[in-house]
Amino acid sequence: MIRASIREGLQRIIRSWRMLLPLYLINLLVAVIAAAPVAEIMQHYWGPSLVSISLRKGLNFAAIYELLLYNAAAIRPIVLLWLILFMAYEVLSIFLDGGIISALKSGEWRGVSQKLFGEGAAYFWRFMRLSLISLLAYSITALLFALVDSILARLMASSTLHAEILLILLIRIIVAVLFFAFTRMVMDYSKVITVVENSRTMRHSVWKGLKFSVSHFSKTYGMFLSLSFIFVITVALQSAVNYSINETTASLVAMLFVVEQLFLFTRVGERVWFYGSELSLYQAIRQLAQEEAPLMTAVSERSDI
Amino acid sequence: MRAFRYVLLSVLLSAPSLRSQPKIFDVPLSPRIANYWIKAELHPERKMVNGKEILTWRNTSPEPVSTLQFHLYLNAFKNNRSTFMMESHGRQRQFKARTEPEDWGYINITSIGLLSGENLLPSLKFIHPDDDNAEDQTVAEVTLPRPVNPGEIVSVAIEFISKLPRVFARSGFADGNFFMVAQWFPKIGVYQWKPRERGKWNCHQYHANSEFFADFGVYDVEITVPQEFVVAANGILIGKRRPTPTSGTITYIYHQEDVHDFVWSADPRFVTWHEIFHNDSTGRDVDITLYTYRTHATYAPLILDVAKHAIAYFQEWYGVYPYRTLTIVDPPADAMGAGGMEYPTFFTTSTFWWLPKGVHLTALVTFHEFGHNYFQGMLASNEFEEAWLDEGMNSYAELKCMERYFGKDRAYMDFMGIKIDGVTQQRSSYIPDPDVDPVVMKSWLYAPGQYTPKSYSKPALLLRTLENILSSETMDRIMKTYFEKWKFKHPTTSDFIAVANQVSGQDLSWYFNQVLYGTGWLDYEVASVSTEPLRGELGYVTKGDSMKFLDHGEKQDKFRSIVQLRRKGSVVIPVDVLFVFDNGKRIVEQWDGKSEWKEYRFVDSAPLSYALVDPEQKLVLDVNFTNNSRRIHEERQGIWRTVLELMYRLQSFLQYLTFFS
Repeated sequence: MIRASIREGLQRIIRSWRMLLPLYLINLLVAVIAAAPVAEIMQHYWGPSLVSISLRKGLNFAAIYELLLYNAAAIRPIVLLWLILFMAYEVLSIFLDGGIISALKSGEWRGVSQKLFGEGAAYFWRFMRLSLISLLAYSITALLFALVDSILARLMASSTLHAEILLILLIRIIVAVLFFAFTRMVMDYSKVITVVENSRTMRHSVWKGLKFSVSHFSKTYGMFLSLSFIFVITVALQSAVNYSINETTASLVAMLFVVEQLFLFTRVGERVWFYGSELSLYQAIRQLAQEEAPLMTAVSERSDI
Repeated sequence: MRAFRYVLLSVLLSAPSLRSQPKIFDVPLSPRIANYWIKAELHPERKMVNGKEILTWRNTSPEPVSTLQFHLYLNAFKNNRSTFMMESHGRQRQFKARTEPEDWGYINITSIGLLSGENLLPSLKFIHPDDDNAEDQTVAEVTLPRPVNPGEIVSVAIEFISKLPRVFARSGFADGNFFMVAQWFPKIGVYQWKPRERGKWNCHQYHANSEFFADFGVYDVEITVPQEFVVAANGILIGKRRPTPTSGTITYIYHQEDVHDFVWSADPRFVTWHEIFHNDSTGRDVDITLYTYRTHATYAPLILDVAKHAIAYFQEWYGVYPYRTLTIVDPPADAMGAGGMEYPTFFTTSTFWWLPKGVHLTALVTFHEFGHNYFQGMLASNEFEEAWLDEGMNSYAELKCMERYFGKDRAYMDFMGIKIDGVTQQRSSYIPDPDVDPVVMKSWLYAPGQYTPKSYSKPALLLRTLENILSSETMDRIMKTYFEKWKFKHPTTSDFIAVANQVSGQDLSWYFNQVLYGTGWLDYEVASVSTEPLRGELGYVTKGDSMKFLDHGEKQDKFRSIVQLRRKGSVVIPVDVLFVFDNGKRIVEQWDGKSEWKEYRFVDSAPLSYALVDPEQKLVLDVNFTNNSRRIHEERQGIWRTVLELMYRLQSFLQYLTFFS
């Protein structure tokens, strides 16, 4: 069932690939808005100087340090702008999540981009409420993780073997990932349930999401971790490619940028893939349950006789 | 009391180690003014060291001395009223003092008297020569019943109890029975006599930023610890003995000559790593021993290799390392405040096992702390009054070591595509506030946050700048001569300047006055560049008897280029200026920098491409390298590369944010 859901999730993205374009373009646009004032400062400060030539070869720490030190007054408001942009992007993501799941659910691949925004608006306030609940959920997760982690930390502190310490550190990281991944998964199913069942009470959605995640734990969590593994591979591959291209010429700089954008487009797709697969799994399990329900009723009636 | 002293002396003298009087150097390397016999016993459960000490001190001044002054530096940790605590606010190197009773420390002198019998304890009083803090007890003075005449030796017997604080700054204990026993015994100050001045004690209080100034001597030290403890010390281990078969303790016996301090560390968990440096300069091997932990094992080979290279580099650049041992202690993670400290023939390093290898922090600390064997260890300048002579010169030496060991462009870091060289590392500390405080000033008077930039970073940069101005060969000769002339003495800034003047054959006071004693900074800028085709005559032109009006100048095949330089700081150092033209022609001019600005004009067949002040980047004291050059046409490719990189990272970050949406 996991493989089938992942496959179906992928097919949904392929069919609705047009939806990825606005998602990617929004990401690009926000990054451009954030980078533009910095680019202006860089051009103004470095442009006339020979220091800029060294930047062709790679990051020049000394040059960056002087840029930050001698342009602090101009950079401070940019930092504020970045904070605002990051928050706005987060809200925009919440807005788009409703659209993504709704578009994937409808199965109609025409006008998918319009649906993204229209349905996003329809679910926005509900998803905002879900996000507020998710803050509480992540806080509880952090608390539970801290309890488990304190035991591991004590174990690590008492250890005298280097390899043992590394192993415990690795375990601590894995435990953190597992804890937060679970919470994220529950929140994902809460969104899916909200859209599929058109729920209006978000705490019910979260409860249903939690119940669904726990009652089908191996399927839901197994699929989430499988998709996360694909995501980690993408990021690792992205880093490897990034460091292997030594952009010493203008054409190599351009080539690397294109490659980086392709990776980002893939990551945008992976975000949708998560929702697509989760939607498929939820619908499949629900359908199975619905099919089994009359059968079970019949069996129970027969046993009554 | 008298009886005690005689017993103490007889016990000390009867000790096998002292009776045999081992000798390291055939000829003393130093004047050996302050010599110590110490017996110490560590009581780990009480975090205490009980000690007995006999000090023999020689009056080398030409006048009688009627008092003695002692450092009692553990009293810095006695309460929050000590000068150290008030200056540091209980914080040092990102570590904070705790406040449980066992976390504090102190040193109590329980008896003090002359070996001839006179009790000095009633005359003992705490003094505070550096400030008006009457509650500071880090310096004590006793009055002698009769003055010590010139050339005479006085012997003083002292009993003391040292309660070690929990480590947050340099000395103390940490959980798991780690002990760093530094500044732990009553140590005599330096009696200074200068012509035309009366002699006086130079015995500063323990300050947050400085703690070293003492006379050289011979140390014979016996340290008794529970038998499971491993001891590291800055002496040659000449024996071990068990006081009694059932005592459960063991006594380590050390001897060291021509050093000005004694320090030791103990921990039952220590594991040792050894290395030998074959010292061709002395014909004797140097035994390098690292005391570390199993958890730090991956860094041990690096630390030993760096230590070996450090000895080789320093011998090549400055002079011979005469000692036969080098002891390195790598403190545990919860005692990092004891890391990165220097003592003669002994230092503590810092291992950050979780740091990637490309971040060269452990090597940096190891090179730096070893370097203090020269700058402070043998060249025993006054850290309180002229900290730059040890920290600054040592930072300059550290920079050279790191560059040679790792390569110039990646001396301090080579990680994930980010390379940090030595000059950049030092500049990042110095350039934010170049105008606050001069280099030469008392260490406790620096403005908050200025001790490191002005006693480490700026001196490293000013010495590198001097090296670039004079040539590496001349600078090497200056440093070698300075070391040879002043080793095992107490050099001052003036002594160094005198050596620099003598070796370079020029009066360098114009340089040192600006960079050591002044608060000015160096910043040359290419303020503007322009280039345009030359035009023929324009306006009313007289030709023979007639005058005619020309309304447009005829374009010629030549270009006029104008470059304006500006000196933005007050420091003046002659500088080269390079002018490069589109046809590849290069012109180098020297500007003396005396005026606040200077204009250069050129007429050439090609337009100017760019102007560059200090093309070889000799003046690393310059606080802004970016404005050292100016191009006619702005660069775009390098900037676009950086912008695209930034944009991609932002995009990636934004995408991570969606995890929480």
